Amino acid sequence: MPASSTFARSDWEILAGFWHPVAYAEEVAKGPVSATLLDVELVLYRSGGGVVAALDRCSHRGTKLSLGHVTDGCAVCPYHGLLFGEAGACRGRPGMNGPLPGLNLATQAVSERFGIIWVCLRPAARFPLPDWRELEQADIRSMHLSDVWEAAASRHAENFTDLAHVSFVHASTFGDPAAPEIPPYAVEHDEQGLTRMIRYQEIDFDDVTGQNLGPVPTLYRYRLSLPFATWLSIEYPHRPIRHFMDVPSPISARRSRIFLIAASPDPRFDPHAYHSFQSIVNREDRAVVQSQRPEELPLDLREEVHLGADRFSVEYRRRLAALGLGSDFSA
Amino acid sequence: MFGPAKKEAATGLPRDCTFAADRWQALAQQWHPIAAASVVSPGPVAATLLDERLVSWRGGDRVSVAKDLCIHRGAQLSPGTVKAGELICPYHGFRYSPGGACVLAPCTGSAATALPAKLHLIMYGTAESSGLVWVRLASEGPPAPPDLGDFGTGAEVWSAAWKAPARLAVEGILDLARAGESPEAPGWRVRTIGPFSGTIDGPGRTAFAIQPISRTACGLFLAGAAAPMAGKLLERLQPVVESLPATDGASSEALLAGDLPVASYRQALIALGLD
Repeated sequence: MPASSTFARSDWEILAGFWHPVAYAEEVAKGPVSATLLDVELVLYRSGGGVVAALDRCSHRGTKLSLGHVTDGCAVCPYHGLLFGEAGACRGRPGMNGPLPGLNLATQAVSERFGIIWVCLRPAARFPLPDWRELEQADIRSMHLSDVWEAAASRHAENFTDLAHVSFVHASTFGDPAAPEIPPYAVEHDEQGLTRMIRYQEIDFDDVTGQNLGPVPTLYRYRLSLPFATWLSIEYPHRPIRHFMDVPSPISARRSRIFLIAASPDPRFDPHAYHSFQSIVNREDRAVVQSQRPEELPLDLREEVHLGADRFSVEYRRRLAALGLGSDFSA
Repeated sequence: MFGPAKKEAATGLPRDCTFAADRWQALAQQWHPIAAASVVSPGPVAATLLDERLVSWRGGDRVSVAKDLCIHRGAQLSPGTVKAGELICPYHGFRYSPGGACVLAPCTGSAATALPAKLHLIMYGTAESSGLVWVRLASEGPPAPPDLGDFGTGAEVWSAAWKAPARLAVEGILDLARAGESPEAPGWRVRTIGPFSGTIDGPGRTAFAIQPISRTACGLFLAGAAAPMAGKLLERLQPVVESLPATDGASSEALLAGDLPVASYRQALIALGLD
């Protein structure tokens, strides 16, 4: 855990054992790219066939490698020109010396999938990556969105899986103010997280023209992979299914980078237009979640008040506590 | 990132409180202004008092002040709306009566659904006088705000926010009209009534009241027909007061012979445990 960590120690230790997104793959064409995960500053670059994720610190004098550049698959330190290649191996300086294994970078477990670079700060992750195989179907069309919220990743994840706010926070986009009721629903548990299925009436828009098409009955299916990743599919009566893959990356305890992918096999799905629409929805959510106090998601269920619609949120908080999170509140 | 799975008893102090605990508790027992009454029509209006985020709104003819927090999911209420005297949370549309009780949770689908009694805003003692909305955060303390005079419901109110402690703003006003000798404010007489409030007698009668926002920030209110004129003088004073070192205690600074009003004001604050 870094000395300046904003997390309680035990929370950091537990969260470090999971995969978290740190960048969209397309952002790391060559690198170097900097990213912060759990207050740890990382550098990402491409070398050989894969991505290297390492502490953003040259092992020679501690310089940030992300300030340098990448040449021939090697990250070049901006200070003294040391070269780092595959697996963070130090190759010395051009024309001066050979490999210097003592200066190899502190690399982290890294995985590239679903168009996202994932990092785990432990050698072995507690769970595999979330199962978002729908995104890898041949005929799928997709768009992705990025943002930074001044909010805890846990607050973001809970908001993404909450339906009761849609009629109010999204009243000017896809929420139906006339249908705020959330009928009773069941929450299913599996080893990696939670699922639920619920019928919901939303306001439909034509992606391209923006025309309000009125209320439509839909079926929402959620699958949350602990700690923060959610897959949501929405089935419509009049058009093909849409998938949403949302995962906030905990930059620090109260700041998160949002990764949201929307995808559909619908040939009429317009990624550009849908990105504009989802950007508005994102801003609507961001304003209210950033206002939540305490910033930390309360894992003691007595701290906030829960109604029937909050069943998923209650089970989510229980599962987070069962991972051991929230057991130390010294930060 | 996470609140504790087993929460300890709350201290009652705001999160990230900038005051020492005993100072905060003494200040919380006093009445402080948070807004011009005419601005809360019907609201919601956000304000910060002693580091606590507050929301005020008007339900019928009375002003309500609550912690700016919906206890359901912790959302801030002040970006919400007021309809028929009820404060509506912007997150899930929960509606709160002027007394702070939740009267409707739309996700339950029916107004008749019994809601948990715990679904209640954290309310504070509230009063309207001298054209201002006053709040007392603690349950104990004086029964009413300091009487600065009645300016009627249409009182002219001037307000400003300074990056200075409330005490220094009051001392600045005392200095400005030191025994009525100041060329800036000829003939002014300043009298403190509450810890951070009082009256200015000069061309007309003006009430002043300072809102301690945090240890280093305050809000200023002037009420009365001459408020805009007095406000213009205070605007010139603002950079001087903001440049003063924000010391915690009043006793460490040098006092000269002409500083008698300031000296006796400081003694009064110390006696109240407020400085």
